[in-house]
Amino acid sequence: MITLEMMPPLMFGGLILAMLIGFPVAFTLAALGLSFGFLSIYLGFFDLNFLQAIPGRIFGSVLSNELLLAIPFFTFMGSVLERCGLAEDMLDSMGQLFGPIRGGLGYSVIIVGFILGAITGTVAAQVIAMALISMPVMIRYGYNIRYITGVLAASGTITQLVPPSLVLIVMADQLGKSVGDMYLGAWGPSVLQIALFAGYTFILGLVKPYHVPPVPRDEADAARLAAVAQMPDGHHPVGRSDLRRARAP
Amino acid sequence: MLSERGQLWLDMIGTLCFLIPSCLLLSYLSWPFFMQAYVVGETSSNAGGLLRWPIKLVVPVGFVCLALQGVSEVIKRIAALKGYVVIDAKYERPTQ
Repeated sequence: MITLEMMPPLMFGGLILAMLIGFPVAFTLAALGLSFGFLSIYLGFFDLNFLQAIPGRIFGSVLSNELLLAIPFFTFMGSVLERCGLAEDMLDSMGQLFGPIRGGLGYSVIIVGFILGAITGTVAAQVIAMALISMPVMIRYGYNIRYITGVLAASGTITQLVPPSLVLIVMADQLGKSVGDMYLGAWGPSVLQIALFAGYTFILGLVKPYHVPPVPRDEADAARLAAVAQMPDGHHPVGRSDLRRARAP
Repeated sequence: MLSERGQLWLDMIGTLCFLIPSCLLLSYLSWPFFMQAYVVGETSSNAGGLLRWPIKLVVPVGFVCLALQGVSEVIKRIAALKGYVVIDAKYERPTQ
Protein backbone atom coordinates (compact mmCIF):
# COMPACT_ATOMS: atom_id res chain seq x y z
CA MET A 1 0.00 0.00 0.00
CA ILE A 2 1.24 3.48 -0.81
CA THR A 3 1.88 5.72 2.17
CA LEU A 4 2.22 9.49 2.20
CA GLU A 5 5.99 9.27 2.67
CA MET A 6 6.33 7.30 -0.54
CA MET A 7 4.70 9.95 -2.70
CA PRO A 8 7.68 12.32 -3.25
CA PRO A 9 10.10 9.56 -4.36
CA LEU A 10 7.38 8.04 -6.54
CA MET A 11 6.70 11.40 -8.12
CA PHE A 12 10.41 11.96 -8.75
CA GLY A 13 10.76 8.56 -10.39
CA GLY A 14 7.66 9.27 -12.44
CA LEU A 15 9.19 12.59 -13.48
CA ILE A 16 12.35 10.92 -14.79
CA LEU A 17 10.35 8.25 -16.64
CA ALA A 18 7.98 10.83 -18.13
CA MET A 19 10.87 13.01 -19.27
CA LEU A 20 12.46 10.05 -21.05
CA ILE A 21 9.37 9.55 -23.18
CA GLY A 22 10.29 12.57 -25.27
CA PHE A 23 7.09 14.58 -25.22
CA PRO A 24 7.43 18.37 -24.69
CA VAL A 25 8.38 19.01 -21.08
CA ALA A 26 5.74 21.62 -20.18
CA PHE A 27 2.77 19.33 -20.85
CA THR A 28 4.50 16.30 -19.39
CA LEU A 29 5.03 18.19 -16.13
CA ALA A 30 1.45 19.44 -16.05
CA ALA A 31 0.02 15.99 -16.64
CA LEU A 32 2.36 14.37 -14.11
CA GLY A 33 1.49 16.88 -11.39
CA LEU A 34 -2.23 16.60 -12.01
CA SER A 35 -2.23 12.82 -12.15
CA PHE A 36 -0.29 12.56 -8.89
CA GLY A 37 -2.71 15.07 -7.42
CA PHE A 38 -5.65 12.86 -8.38
CA LEU A 39 -3.86 9.77 -7.09
CA SER A 40 -3.40 11.54 -3.75
CA ILE A 41 -7.06 12.55 -3.70
CA TYR A 42 -8.04 8.95 -4.40
CA LEU A 43 -5.82 7.71 -1.59
CA GLY A 44 -7.12 10.37 0.77
CA PHE A 45 -3.93 12.38 1.32
CA PHE A 46 -5.20 15.46 -0.35
CA ASP A 47 -8.42 17.41 -0.57
CA LEU A 48 -10.16 18.15 -3.88
CA ASN A 49 -10.66 21.77 -2.80
CA PHE A 50 -6.90 22.33 -2.83
CA LEU A 51 -7.01 22.19 -6.63
CA GLN A 52 -8.85 25.51 -6.49
CA ALA A 53 -5.51 27.07 -5.56
CA ILE A 54 -4.00 26.35 -9.00
CA PRO A 55 -5.56 29.36 -10.82
CA GLY A 56 -4.57 31.56 -7.90
CA ARG A 57 -0.99 30.47 -8.33
CA ILE A 58 -1.09 30.93 -12.11
CA PHE A 59 -2.41 34.45 -11.68
CA GLY A 60 -0.62 35.44 -8.51
CA SER A 61 2.90 34.19 -9.04
CA VAL A 62 3.20 34.17 -12.84
CA LEU A 63 0.80 36.60 -14.52
CA SER A 64 1.10 39.41 -12.01
CA ASN A 65 4.88 39.04 -11.61
CA GLU A 66 6.48 42.13 -13.10
CA LEU A 67 9.95 40.57 -13.18
CA LEU A 68 8.95 37.80 -15.57
CA LEU A 69 7.62 40.42 -17.97
CA ALA A 70 11.17 40.71 -19.32
CA ILE A 71 11.15 37.19 -20.77
CA PRO A 72 8.82 37.68 -23.77
CA PHE A 73 10.65 40.88 -24.70
CA PHE A 74 14.05 39.22 -24.54
CA THR A 75 12.82 36.32 -26.63
CA PHE A 76 11.40 38.74 -29.18
CA MET A 77 14.66 40.68 -29.36
CA GLY A 78 16.63 37.47 -29.79
CA SER A 79 14.47 36.26 -32.65
CA VAL A 80 14.64 39.66 -34.39
CA LEU A 81 18.43 39.61 -34.23
CA GLU A 82 18.51 36.00 -35.38
CA ARG A 83 16.33 36.69 -38.41
CA CYS A 84 18.15 39.84 -39.48
CA GLY A 85 21.41 37.92 -39.90
CA LEU A 86 23.45 39.78 -37.31
CA ALA A 87 25.31 36.63 -36.26
CA GLU A 88 26.47 35.89 -39.82
CA ASP A 89 27.80 39.41 -40.32
CA MET A 90 29.55 39.47 -36.97
CA LEU A 91 31.24 36.13 -37.50
CA ASP A 92 32.30 37.24 -40.95
CA SER A 93 33.92 40.47 -39.83
CA MET A 94 35.46 38.91 -36.72
CA GLY A 95 36.92 36.17 -38.88
CA GLN A 96 38.52 38.78 -41.12
CA LEU A 97 39.88 40.63 -38.11
CA PHE A 98 41.37 37.63 -36.29
CA GLY A 99 41.79 35.25 -39.22
CA PRO A 100 45.49 35.74 -39.99
CA ILE A 101 46.64 34.99 -36.44
CA ARG A 102 46.93 31.46 -35.07
CA GLY A 103 43.58 30.24 -33.70
CA GLY A 104 41.94 33.38 -35.03
CA LEU A 105 38.68 31.78 -36.09
CA GLY A 106 38.44 30.26 -32.62
CA TYR A 107 38.77 33.72 -31.04
CA SER A 108 36.14 35.10 -33.37
CA VAL A 109 33.67 32.36 -32.40
CA ILE A 110 34.33 32.96 -28.70
CA ILE A 111 33.87 36.73 -28.94
CA VAL A 112 30.77 36.53 -31.10
CA GLY A 113 29.31 33.94 -28.73
CA PHE A 114 29.93 36.31 -25.82
CA ILE A 115 28.37 39.34 -27.49
CA LEU A 116 25.43 37.49 -29.01
CA GLY A 117 24.86 35.65 -25.75
CA ALA A 118 24.41 38.97 -24.04
CA ILE A 119 21.76 39.87 -26.59
CA THR A 120 19.75 36.81 -27.47
CA GLY A 121 19.57 34.74 -24.31
CA THR A 122 18.40 31.57 -26.04
CA VAL A 123 20.93 28.77 -26.03
CA ALA A 124 19.98 26.18 -28.62
CA ALA A 125 19.26 28.66 -31.40
CA GLN A 126 22.61 30.32 -30.93
CA VAL A 127 24.65 27.13 -30.96
CA ILE A 128 22.94 26.01 -34.14
CA ALA A 129 23.32 29.37 -35.85
CA MET A 130 27.01 29.70 -35.01
CA ALA A 131 27.78 26.12 -35.96
CA LEU A 132 26.03 26.48 -39.31
CA ILE A 133 28.00 29.60 -40.14
CA SER A 134 31.49 28.99 -38.84
CA MET A 135 31.94 25.22 -38.82
CA PRO A 136 32.35 24.84 -42.61
CA VAL A 137 34.85 27.71 -42.65
CA MET A 138 36.92 26.24 -39.82
CA ILE A 139 36.92 22.78 -41.41
CA ARG A 140 38.05 24.28 -44.71
CA TYR A 141 41.05 25.94 -43.08
CA GLY A 142 42.04 22.70 -41.40
CA TYR A 143 41.08 23.25 -37.77
CA ASN A 144 40.97 20.16 -35.59
CA ILE A 145 37.38 18.87 -35.55
CA ARG A 146 37.49 18.25 -31.81
CA TYR A 147 38.53 21.83 -31.20
CA ILE A 148 35.83 23.15 -33.55
CA THR A 149 32.95 21.34 -31.90
CA GLY A 150 34.26 22.12 -28.44
CA VAL A 151 34.65 25.83 -28.98
CA LEU A 152 31.26 26.09 -30.67
CA ALA A 153 29.42 24.26 -27.91
CA ALA A 154 31.25 26.12 -25.16
CA SER A 155 30.81 29.64 -26.49
CA GLY A 156 27.28 28.95 -27.67
CA THR A 157 26.11 27.89 -24.24
CA ILE A 158 27.79 30.75 -22.36
CA THR A 159 24.51 32.53 -23.02
CA GLN A 160 23.30 31.17 -19.69
CA LEU A 161 25.79 33.29 -17.79
CA VAL A 162 26.40 36.48 -19.75
CA PRO A 163 24.06 39.23 -18.59
CA PRO A 164 21.31 39.94 -19.53
CA SER A 165 20.33 36.28 -19.55
CA LEU A 166 16.89 34.83 -19.02
CA VAL A 167 18.13 32.25 -16.55
CA LEU A 168 19.38 34.99 -14.26
CA ILE A 169 16.01 36.75 -14.32
CA VAL A 170 14.22 33.58 -13.27
CA MET A 171 16.84 32.93 -10.58
CA ALA A 172 16.52 36.49 -9.27
CA ASP A 173 12.77 35.94 -8.98
CA GLN A 174 13.23 32.67 -7.10
CA LEU A 175 15.99 33.94 -4.79
CA GLY A 176 14.27 37.22 -4.04
CA LYS A 177 17.29 39.31 -5.08
CA SER A 178 17.27 42.24 -7.48
CA VAL A 179 18.01 41.52 -11.13
CA GLY A 180 20.67 44.23 -11.19
CA ASP A 181 22.61 42.49 -8.42
CA MET A 182 22.41 39.18 -10.27
CA TYR A 183 23.76 40.76 -13.47
CA LEU A 184 26.52 42.54 -11.58
CA GLY A 185 27.54 39.26 -9.98
CA ALA A 186 27.49 37.38 -13.29
CA TRP A 187 29.88 39.73 -15.08
CA GLY A 188 33.00 38.47 -13.32
CA PRO A 189 32.44 34.75 -13.93
CA SER A 190 31.38 35.26 -17.54
CA VAL A 191 34.41 37.40 -18.41
CA LEU A 192 36.64 34.92 -16.61
CA GLN A 193 35.14 32.07 -18.59
CA ILE A 194 35.67 33.89 -21.88
CA ALA A 195 39.26 34.57 -20.84
CA LEU A 196 39.74 30.87 -20.07
CA PHE A 197 38.40 29.87 -23.50
CA ALA A 198 40.66 32.40 -25.25
CA GLY A 199 43.62 31.33 -23.11
CA TYR A 200 43.06 27.69 -24.01
CA THR A 201 42.97 28.61 -27.69
CA PHE A 202 46.20 30.59 -27.28
CA ILE A 203 48.01 27.75 -25.50
CA LEU A 204 46.73 25.23 -28.04
CA GLY A 205 48.14 27.49 -30.75
CA LEU A 206 51.54 27.39 -29.03
CA VAL A 207 51.60 23.67 -28.23
CA LYS A 208 49.84 22.21 -31.27
CA PRO A 209 49.84 24.89 -33.98
CA TYR A 210 48.49 22.47 -36.59
CA HIS A 211 45.22 22.20 -34.63
CA VAL A 212 44.43 25.91 -35.06
CA PRO A 213 46.15 27.07 -38.26
CA PRO A 214 45.91 30.75 -39.24
CA VAL A 215 43.89 31.68 -42.30
CA PRO A 216 46.35 32.53 -45.12
CA ARG A 217 46.81 36.30 -45.28
CA ASP A 218 45.97 36.50 -48.99
CA GLU A 219 42.51 35.05 -48.46
CA ALA A 220 41.78 37.31 -45.52
CA ASP A 221 42.78 40.30 -47.61
CA ALA A 222 40.66 39.12 -50.51
CA ALA A 223 37.66 38.90 -48.22
CA ARG A 224 38.36 42.40 -46.91
CA LEU A 225 38.61 43.75 -50.46
CA ALA A 226 35.30 42.18 -51.36
CA ALA A 227 33.74 43.84 -48.33
CA VAL A 228 35.12 47.22 -49.41
CA ALA A 229 33.89 46.72 -52.96
CA GLN A 230 30.34 46.26 -51.69
CA MET A 231 30.39 49.53 -49.76
CA PRO A 232 29.09 52.81 -51.17
CA ASP A 233 31.72 55.21 -52.54
CA GLY A 234 33.80 57.09 -50.09
CA HIS A 235 33.51 54.59 -47.24
CA HIS A 236 36.80 52.76 -47.01
CA PRO A 237 37.38 51.24 -43.60
CA VAL A 238 40.88 50.04 -44.48
CA GLY A 239 43.85 52.26 -45.32
CA ARG A 240 45.10 52.83 -48.84
CA SER A 241 48.40 51.06 -48.23
CA ASP A 242 46.41 48.06 -47.06
CA LEU A 243 44.46 48.03 -50.31
CA ARG A 244 47.60 48.35 -52.39
CA ARG A 245 49.31 45.51 -50.57
CA ALA A 246 46.28 43.31 -51.05
CA ARG A 247 46.19 43.98 -54.77
CA ALA A 248 49.85 43.05 -55.23
CA PRO A 249 50.30 39.39 -56.18
CA MET B 1 15.81 8.07 -30.80
CA LEU B 2 12.45 6.96 -32.07
CA SER B 3 11.67 6.46 -35.71
CA GLU B 4 9.61 9.01 -37.61
CA ARG B 5 6.42 6.99 -37.18
CA GLY B 6 7.20 6.28 -33.55
CA GLN B 7 7.59 9.98 -32.89
CA LEU B 8 4.25 10.65 -34.59
CA TRP B 9 2.52 8.02 -32.45
CA LEU B 10 4.18 9.39 -29.33
CA ASP B 11 3.07 12.93 -30.15
CA MET B 12 -0.49 11.81 -30.73
CA ILE B 13 -0.76 9.76 -27.55
CA GLY B 14 1.03 12.42 -25.53
CA THR B 15 -1.28 15.13 -26.79
CA LEU B 16 -4.36 13.01 -26.12
CA CYS B 17 -3.27 11.84 -22.66
CA PHE B 18 -1.20 14.77 -21.35
CA LEU B 19 -1.90 18.03 -23.13
CA ILE B 20 -5.65 18.06 -23.73
CA PRO B 21 -6.78 16.69 -20.32
CA SER B 22 -4.52 18.96 -18.30
CA CYS B 23 -5.46 22.03 -20.33
CA LEU B 24 -9.18 21.34 -20.06
CA LEU B 25 -8.87 20.65 -16.35
CA LEU B 26 -6.93 23.84 -15.73
CA SER B 27 -9.43 25.91 -17.67
CA TYR B 28 -12.29 24.26 -15.76
CA LEU B 29 -10.55 25.05 -12.46
CA SER B 30 -9.82 28.66 -13.36
CA TRP B 31 -13.37 29.46 -14.54
CA PRO B 32 -14.77 30.10 -11.02
CA PHE B 33 -11.71 32.22 -10.37
CA PHE B 34 -12.72 34.49 -13.24
CA MET B 35 -16.45 34.40 -12.41
CA GLN B 36 -15.78 35.54 -8.86
CA ALA B 37 -13.75 38.53 -10.05
CA TYR B 38 -16.44 39.36 -12.63
CA VAL B 39 -19.36 39.20 -10.22
CA VAL B 40 -17.66 41.25 -7.52
CA GLY B 41 -16.18 43.71 -10.05
CA GLU B 42 -12.70 43.28 -8.61
CA THR B 43 -10.21 46.05 -9.38
CA SER B 44 -6.44 46.10 -9.23
CA SER B 45 -4.84 47.35 -6.05
CA ASN B 46 -2.36 49.47 -8.02
CA ALA B 47 -2.91 53.17 -8.59
CA GLY B 48 -5.60 53.65 -11.24
CA GLY B 49 -7.33 50.43 -10.28
CA LEU B 50 -8.17 48.77 -13.59
CA LEU B 51 -10.81 46.06 -13.74
CA ARG B 52 -9.37 42.62 -13.12
CA TRP B 53 -11.80 40.25 -14.80
CA PRO B 54 -10.43 40.65 -18.38
CA ILE B 55 -6.98 39.44 -17.38
CA LYS B 56 -8.47 36.64 -15.30
CA LEU B 57 -10.55 35.61 -18.28
CA VAL B 58 -7.26 35.15 -20.17
CA VAL B 59 -6.37 32.10 -18.04
CA PRO B 60 -9.32 29.80 -18.95
CA VAL B 61 -9.50 31.12 -22.52
CA GLY B 62 -5.78 30.53 -23.02
CA PHE B 63 -5.95 26.97 -21.77
CA VAL B 64 -8.98 26.23 -23.97
CA CYS B 65 -7.07 27.61 -26.98
CA LEU B 66 -4.10 25.41 -26.10
CA ALA B 67 -6.39 22.36 -25.93
CA LEU B 68 -7.89 23.28 -29.33
CA GLN B 69 -4.38 23.49 -30.77
CA GLY B 70 -3.81 20.03 -29.27
CA VAL B 71 -6.85 18.75 -31.19
CA SER B 72 -5.38 20.26 -34.36
CA GLU B 73 -2.03 18.58 -33.68
CA VAL B 74 -3.74 15.21 -33.17
CA ILE B 75 -5.55 15.58 -36.49
CA LYS B 76 -2.26 16.45 -38.22
CA ARG B 77 -0.53 13.42 -36.66
CA ILE B 78 -3.34 11.12 -37.80
CA ALA B 79 -3.13 12.54 -41.33
CA ALA B 80 0.63 12.04 -41.36
CA LEU B 81 0.32 8.48 -40.08
CA LYS B 82 -2.17 7.71 -42.85
CA GLY B 83 0.19 9.24 -45.36
CA TYR B 84 -1.91 12.20 -46.48
CA VAL B 85 0.65 14.81 -45.48
CA VAL B 86 4.30 14.89 -44.49
CA ILE B 87 5.16 16.76 -41.30
CA ASP B 88 8.40 17.39 -39.50
CA ALA B 89 8.18 15.44 -36.26
CA LYS B 90 11.61 16.27 -34.86
CA TYR B 91 11.59 19.27 -32.54
CA GLU B 92 15.35 19.68 -32.38
CA ARG B 93 15.82 20.51 -36.02
CA PRO B 94 16.97 24.11 -36.64
CA THR B 95 14.25 26.41 -37.85
CA GLN B 96 16.34 28.35 -40.35
